[in-house]
Amino acid sequence: MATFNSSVRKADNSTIIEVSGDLDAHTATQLEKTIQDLLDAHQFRLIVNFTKLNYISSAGLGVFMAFIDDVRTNGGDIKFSNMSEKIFNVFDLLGFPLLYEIYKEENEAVKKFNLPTV
Amino acid sequence: MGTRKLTVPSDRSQLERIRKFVCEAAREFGFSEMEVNKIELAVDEACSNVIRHAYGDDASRSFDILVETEREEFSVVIEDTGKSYDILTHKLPEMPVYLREHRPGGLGIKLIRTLMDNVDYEPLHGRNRLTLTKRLHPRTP
Repeated sequence: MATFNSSVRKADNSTIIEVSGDLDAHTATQLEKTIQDLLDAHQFRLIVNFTKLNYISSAGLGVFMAFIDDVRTNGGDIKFSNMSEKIFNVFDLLGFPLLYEIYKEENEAVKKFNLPTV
Repeated sequence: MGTRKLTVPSDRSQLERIRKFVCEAAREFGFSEMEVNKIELAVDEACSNVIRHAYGDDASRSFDILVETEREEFSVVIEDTGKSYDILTHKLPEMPVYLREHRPGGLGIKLIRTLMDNVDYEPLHGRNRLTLTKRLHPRTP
């Protein structure tokens, strides 16, 4: 059984999704459900904290692609933080830093969401 | 030259086991951790495609992963008997367009071809044989 886990908590205006373990074609559906539940609860300011994520494949990246339009249409965003070099390399290889904001630390992303929207 | 083989059912839960098998072999062969990560991702993407597309997530089917080493070359051969698909003729997405359109999926083949030194595909007697190769030291031009 692949080891993947996600836990959700609030930080100011943001919802933090902490992911851990391996995010692949097997476990991506778990993350899909977590994000879908948040959207159903009208949580659109999402930060994914990657501190404990060991591995990601294109199936994992696909989850963020699947939801980004819906989230942004509702005035929110999906921001990323605390990526290891290994995880960042996969995002970078496919040009994802052009589409998503990636922060070194979670609190930088939280601060960004706290700024008044123009 | 050495060969080792793993046979797994066509089930996504096997991906973690496949990654461990390939990473161990790649590390033993002498690759740096960064190169091991690349091989791990390419093989995972290829095997995900077999499970999802060649076998349509039918866990009653199975496929083989072989690690073959010769001199400087480390090859991972993935053999299945499912629906054939030539990844060499697959049109790779143009990333700026792809990202603009926010399409989920379809990035696996792009990753495989970017991460490995050589990718070869041959359908043979009802079997699909995909060979992903990386050299221990890049060829000097």
